Amino acid sequence: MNPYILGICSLFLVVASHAQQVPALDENIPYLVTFGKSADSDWGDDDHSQVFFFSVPHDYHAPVYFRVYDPDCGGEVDEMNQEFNSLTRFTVYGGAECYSNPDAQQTDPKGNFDSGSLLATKTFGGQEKYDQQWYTFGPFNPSSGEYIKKFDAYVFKIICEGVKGDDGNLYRYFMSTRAEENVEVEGGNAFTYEYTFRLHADYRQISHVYPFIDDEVISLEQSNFDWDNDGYIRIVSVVSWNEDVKTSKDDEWAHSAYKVKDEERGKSVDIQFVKTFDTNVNNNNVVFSVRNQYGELLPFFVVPIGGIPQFKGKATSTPIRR
Amino acid sequence: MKESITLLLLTFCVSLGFSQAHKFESFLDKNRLDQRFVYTLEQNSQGYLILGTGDGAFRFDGREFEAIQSNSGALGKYITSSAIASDGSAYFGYFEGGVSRLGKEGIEDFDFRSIAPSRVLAMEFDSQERLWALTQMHGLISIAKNGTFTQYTKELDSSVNYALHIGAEDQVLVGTDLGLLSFQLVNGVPEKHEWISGLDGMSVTAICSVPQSQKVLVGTDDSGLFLMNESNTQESWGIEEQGEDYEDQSIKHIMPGDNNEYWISTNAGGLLKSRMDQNKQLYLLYSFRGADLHGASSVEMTFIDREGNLWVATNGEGLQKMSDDYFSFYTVQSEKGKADINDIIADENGLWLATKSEVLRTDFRPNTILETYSVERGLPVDEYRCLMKDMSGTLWVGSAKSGLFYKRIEDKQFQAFELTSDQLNRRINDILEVGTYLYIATDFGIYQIRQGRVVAHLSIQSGLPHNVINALYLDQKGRIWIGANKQRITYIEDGMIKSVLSESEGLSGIDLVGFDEGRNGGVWIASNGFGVVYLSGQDTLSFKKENGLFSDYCYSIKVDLNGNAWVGHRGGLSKIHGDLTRIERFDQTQLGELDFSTNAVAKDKHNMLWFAANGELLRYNPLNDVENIHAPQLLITGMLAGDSLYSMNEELFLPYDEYKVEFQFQALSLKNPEAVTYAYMLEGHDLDWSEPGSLNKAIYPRLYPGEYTFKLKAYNEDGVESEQMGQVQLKIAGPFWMKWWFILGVSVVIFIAVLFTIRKREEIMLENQLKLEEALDLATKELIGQKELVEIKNKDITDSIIYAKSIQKAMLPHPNELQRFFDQAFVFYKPRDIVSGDFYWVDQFNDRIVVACADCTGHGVPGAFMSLISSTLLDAQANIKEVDSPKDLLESVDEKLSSLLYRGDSDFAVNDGMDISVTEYNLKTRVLRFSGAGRPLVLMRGGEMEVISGDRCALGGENRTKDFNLHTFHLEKGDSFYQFSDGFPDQFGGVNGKKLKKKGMLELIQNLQGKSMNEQLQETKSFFAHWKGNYEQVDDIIFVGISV
Repeated sequence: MNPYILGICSLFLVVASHAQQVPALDENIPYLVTFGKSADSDWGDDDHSQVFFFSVPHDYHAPVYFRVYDPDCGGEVDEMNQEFNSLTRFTVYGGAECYSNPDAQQTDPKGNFDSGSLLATKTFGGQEKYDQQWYTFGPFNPSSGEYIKKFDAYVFKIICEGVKGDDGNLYRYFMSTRAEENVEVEGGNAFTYEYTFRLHADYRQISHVYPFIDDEVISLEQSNFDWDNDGYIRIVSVVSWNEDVKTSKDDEWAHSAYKVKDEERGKSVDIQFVKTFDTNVNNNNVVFSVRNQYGELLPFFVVPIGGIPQFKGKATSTPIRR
Repeated sequence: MKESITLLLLTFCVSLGFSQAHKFESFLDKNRLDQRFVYTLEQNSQGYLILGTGDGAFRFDGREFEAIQSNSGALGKYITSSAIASDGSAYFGYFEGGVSRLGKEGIEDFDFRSIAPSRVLAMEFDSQERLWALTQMHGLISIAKNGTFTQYTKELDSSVNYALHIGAEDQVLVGTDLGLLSFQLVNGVPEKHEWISGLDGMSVTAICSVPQSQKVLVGTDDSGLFLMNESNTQESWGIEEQGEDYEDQSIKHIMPGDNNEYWISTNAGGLLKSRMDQNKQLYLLYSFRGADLHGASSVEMTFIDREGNLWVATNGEGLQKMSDDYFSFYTVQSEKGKADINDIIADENGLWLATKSEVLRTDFRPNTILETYSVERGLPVDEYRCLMKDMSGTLWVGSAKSGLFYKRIEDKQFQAFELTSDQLNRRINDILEVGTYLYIATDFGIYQIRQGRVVAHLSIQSGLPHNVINALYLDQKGRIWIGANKQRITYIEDGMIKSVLSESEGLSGIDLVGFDEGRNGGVWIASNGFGVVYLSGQDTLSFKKENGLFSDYCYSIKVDLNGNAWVGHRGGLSKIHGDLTRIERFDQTQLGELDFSTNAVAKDKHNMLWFAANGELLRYNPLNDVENIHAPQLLITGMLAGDSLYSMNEELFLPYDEYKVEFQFQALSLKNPEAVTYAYMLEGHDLDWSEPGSLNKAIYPRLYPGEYTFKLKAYNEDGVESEQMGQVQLKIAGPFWMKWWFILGVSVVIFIAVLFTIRKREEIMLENQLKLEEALDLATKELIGQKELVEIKNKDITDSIIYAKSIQKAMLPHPNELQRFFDQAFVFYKPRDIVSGDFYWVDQFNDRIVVACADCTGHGVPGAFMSLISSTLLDAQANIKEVDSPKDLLESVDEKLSSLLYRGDSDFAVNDGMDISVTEYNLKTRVLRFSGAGRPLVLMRGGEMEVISGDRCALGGENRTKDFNLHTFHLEKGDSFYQFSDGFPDQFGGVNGKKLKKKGMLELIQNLQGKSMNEQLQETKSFFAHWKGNYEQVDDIIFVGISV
């Protein structure tokens, strides 16, 4: 497809969508990924779990649904390790401490990371009927989430765990107002503190995550795992362009710091995952998180707070290296 | 064969089917219940529906929802489970954990969140009334009656729990994400834990007892529905899966209903209605979701209240109620879209539907269109208006413009039946089979067909009321009723066209659209504009909007199994009860927006009624339309006295005053709360019960002090009276002066005062009595003295009078004096007192004997004086020479008497005188001469009585000259004459106490005849004594009888 036409389409989708799709169109991440409990970390998943939070505005009272696309581990989308033998459990939590428990806001599934009231859970194997289909949790009463004052919203938590096997389960979420179709909750959002996701195979696709920089952040420390030297990761903000960060190799962690500028506070920054055509690693999965100067994790909102940051200076290089 | 296959393919290719729904009423409304998520439903002992939601508990009385506080506040508002104890207490389980109890004693929290901080998903009571609460992640919590709770996590420490069931013998089943766990309660402690094989690894989310069996239904999440025995042994569980309909369902709750029906709530598949057959197989009847349930596809649970209403708690679309299970709705979809049905007929196998573009056949349920006929099968490109299947099985179709078509059983294609070439006659409105004839109703009269050819055409010329015939109906008497436009009601009987009612009888301008026959042979007639008419014998009944009919514009009518007439209108239905006393109306609330098609109604072999209405089929099942036998539950909620509201928990005792009192009450009937009526009576005020009315309060503008009993009865929509009468006592205190102590005190004071007064009066009276006795003694002595003096004086006077009597007696002639002159004579002389005013006087002058009887004025002493004077005057005047006759004697005596006693107006004048009769009898000549002054003479001659009246003036008195008449008679031997004063006739006596009068005197004289004078005297005495009896003698009496 003509890149120009593709760009126009992407722009249209970005404008049209609001977004409790996870990953969001603005992120341009094809799938989230969670590997089975027995999978080696060099597959790109360091802890075989992924936690996502969804916020529902306080004044929203209609039912909400959490939909999972391709929840099974099998078929074309998922990543097979020899043969599919994995079970993946999706669990929805609400109620007290589902978000506010400190363990819930960490990168690793330790302690009370599964805090809150269990609202629904289902374990998927390789059932064909769920392959490339949407499975719906819910309906949920918005007030069955945990009310978080700073968001003025009820927050739900979905934990995806690879409870058995060594295959990679690729999936997406959608927080919807309908059980059988994806209709976003107006004013809703989704966020996580650690992203584990699949990168596009196409080197021309750039994926993004958008950590929010609040007023107290002085510096960022990004951590990426198993990047496999599949290009580079850079930070783009209203005042920064092409600030590369340290990237990891296979089955390794890489960390680097970034000094936050005054103009970047109160906004989201755009962390771009840029593949290069010469490396062109297929099925690359990566884990990514960002902490502030106190070691506190910063959330990635699928709908960037303050919108997608636009660099106001003059770009000095093309985004894609050839 | 090839053709058959083609037709078969054609048939099923175009069959897209029906969708079916019952109507559910939604209560999700800001003005009713603004709660999208309802998690629990119960009905408490008072009849309230108790709801648990994410925002607290509510109670519903059928009209309004009221939030109720279910815990002290610590456990939050998010309710996830509930249960009602046998004592009526309501238990609520919470989202964050913990249980509360709401009972008569108030609210009690059982906060076990420190040991079990997870949702309480289910609660049940064991045989010891111990509550078991199933938490999602932390096992079971048992709560004893005294409030102590114990946690049990054995075998449940790593599971996610969903469902709880406690059987009759305290066998417990717990549904978990690992399967179904069974254990036995022994003295309240779980023992013999065992995972039920066959359900391993399944998420068991619902468990339900199968009534009247030892089986349970077990629902799972995505793994199907199972039936198993309720048993303690692994070998006898006998798990059986219940069909593929339930395999992919996430079952949340199972509720048994009537007729072996089960209501299965699912998370995404809506509400499933299933029925268990005799082989204990559960088959799916209907699936309600989406539009059926106002958009809900996730049903948390269902609940059937004591009146049989099905309540549905949904996730997202609030509370709903299935209204009227006897209505089912079907939307008919063919490949040409939603079918607009013009006519319905029912045969042995199902229904035939005539639509605007197709003729469809389906079964009775109906789930599938079995056959479709349209242009491809020989029908015209036209609208199909009516259907009829005759006795031979031939199907007849009437079209709007193209005439009549038919298809024999063996035919594959329809064929045209040529009625006429006239275009107007090609519009077929109805088809009726009567014996071997077919009657075809058209816009140009009726065609009669027999054996494939038209044998007659009836029109106005034949006597039809109108050429446009809408409908035909054959009743059991063989009459063919004709539904015509704007004319009288007409039928054909024995080949004759007859009318029942005409325009002149008030049916002008009506369109008759349908007929049916009642159970007692009466004919129901639906009209468009004039409501419904019922003809039974000579009686005609009219049902119109003013009588309760939904509308006067009717489109179809059918009588159901119970004799009720159902009438289709635009926007609603009317049900005229078979007893003709009541009309029920069904509107948009129950039916949705339905406009019923003209004459498109049928009754099938199962007695179901089928109505067509703007693209939908409405099925009415009379078997489910049963009377609500459940009386409403009564509750007197409060009393408003003045401005104060009193609850029924307190004693209704009001201080002294006059009050405006309002009793507030309600009777809960969740089926039709609007139709509940009340009757009440305030004993002590009302003499009788009030007329039933819908107002749920009774107002008494003024109640005075006293004791009252307010009694209340309620009736449901079918008039079933509440089982127990509501009753409350009210007492309004009287004023202090009506208090017992006051009355007693005052009584004592009054008693003492009265006692004192009596004593004092007694003393005074005693004193007075003594004085009186003294005075009496004195007076008695004086009186005795006076009495003695009076007696002495009286004696003196009496003696004087007695002496005067002797003087008077001496002056009166002796009775023998008369006998000296006459052989026979008597004198009856009887003074009233001692002396008399009456006297008689006798004297002889040669041959003449003069006899006078006089009655002087007065009696007693004055009379005696007068008699002496008068006697003296008679003596003196009779001897005067010039006095030669009784007349002369009277005039002479009168003159003397007047001059003697009446001297003008002198103070000494006496106006006294006398009445007198004087006779003169000549002994030789026997000539009797008589003159009378105020007295008569009675003359008896030859047995004949002659009465000669005296002149009407007395002697004496006013000094004027009086002229007396002289009467002369010649007597014969034996004649007699009688003279008497007025004393005898004036005497009162006899039986009636009246005067004897002159008539009686003459009768006496008559009766004396034939007797001697002596005998006459005795007879006279005897008569007088008898006549007078005990009466007083009123005057002096002189009665003289002489016989010559």
